[in-house]
Amino acid sequence: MKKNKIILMTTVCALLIFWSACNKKEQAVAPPLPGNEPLTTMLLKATNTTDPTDTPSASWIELDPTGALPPDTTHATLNLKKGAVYNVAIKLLDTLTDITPEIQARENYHLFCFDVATGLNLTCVQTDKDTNTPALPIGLTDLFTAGNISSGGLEVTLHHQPNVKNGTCAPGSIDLEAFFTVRIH
Amino acid sequence: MKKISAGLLAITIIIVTSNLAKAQDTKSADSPTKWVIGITGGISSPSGNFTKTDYDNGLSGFAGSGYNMGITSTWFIKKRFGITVLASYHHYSYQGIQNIANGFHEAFDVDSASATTRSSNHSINILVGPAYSLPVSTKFSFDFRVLAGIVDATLAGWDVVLTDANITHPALTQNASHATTFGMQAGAAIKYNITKQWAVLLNGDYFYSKPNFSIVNIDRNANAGREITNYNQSIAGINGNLTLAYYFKRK
Repeated sequence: MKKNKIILMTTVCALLIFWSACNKKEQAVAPPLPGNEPLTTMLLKATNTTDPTDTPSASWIELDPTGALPPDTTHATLNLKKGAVYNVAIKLLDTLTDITPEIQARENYHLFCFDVATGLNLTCVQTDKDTNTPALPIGLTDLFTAGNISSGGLEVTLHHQPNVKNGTCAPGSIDLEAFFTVRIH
Repeated sequence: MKKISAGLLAITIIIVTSNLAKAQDTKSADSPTKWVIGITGGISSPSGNFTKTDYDNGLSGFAGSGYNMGITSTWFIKKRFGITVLASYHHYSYQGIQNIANGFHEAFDVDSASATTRSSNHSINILVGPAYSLPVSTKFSFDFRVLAGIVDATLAGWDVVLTDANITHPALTQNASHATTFGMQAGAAIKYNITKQWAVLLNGDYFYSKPNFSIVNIDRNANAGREITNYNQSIAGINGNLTLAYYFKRK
């Protein structure tokens, strides 16, 4: 009888030890990948909705991602006509490569935001939508409405909002920040 | 490999046939036993889509080999024929969690992604069915069983935490999910009688069930990254077990 109990207890203990040893959480981390090229250039290409020959554009270039060297703002001025409405397309470059399709593919967690300086009579509205539910704005295509004659700064930011995109500019981080001057004639 | 298998089969047939007649007269292995109860445990090796670890494949179950343990009981209605009840727990390891982390890292283009499993892939099985014991010597016999019953299965989930530009975002979660379904198990065992009351069995069983899991995902604010709401793939494979059995009322 004693022998029976020993056999039984040994077996039960072995099973319990085996069970506790095998029940553990699995965890893994995907670390940052080296050599991610920074975004360097933002292009704004506007088309007047009533005059297709009126196609002003502007570019903002920052080749030094550390910010030690100042950005190239030679062509960073956008000239718009008073009272006109423009379809605007934004293009992004990574040194020489066009990154716009990549942003399009990752539209569900990217958003362009516009900060218009006080005194500049301009309104900017994103016209494209992503495939989130509900659909949220992206900003690769926009509608710029120029008001009265004025000029001032326009800050365009590309926000990276992984799983936190909600249609506002607040969540996430900024992938690229570009500063333009807008003149309404 | 084929030659070895053929050789083993031939040896088995010879042993069985040569001992079968002799076994008719023996008492220990073939004597009437009313009830046998046993503790069983061993490895579980699933196969099929359930074991795939491809992040982009919605059929991937990310399950690996694991273990099973349980209690088995056989009530002998006739000399060699009985009804077996098996209550068992199957646990399958989670494999491919790195693929989950890598997949979300890529899908959200973030600096890093950390994935942690929630619960585990496991099932609780209550199966019943006929069993047949074929003695081949005074000490050895071959036992066969075909069981069917209820399987309550759990599919493991995970939490993925995305970190980008030093911002850690709230975890995306695929909850662990449960489903109850029909299941079956069939196999054979070599039984060795240690004493009049104790025996050990080396079991090999095929198991099968196909639970239909409804999966709840939490904090999925963007349509990006792996997201499944249903999983209906078979959980099937082979168990290799060792069973310690105790005979009641052996005469």
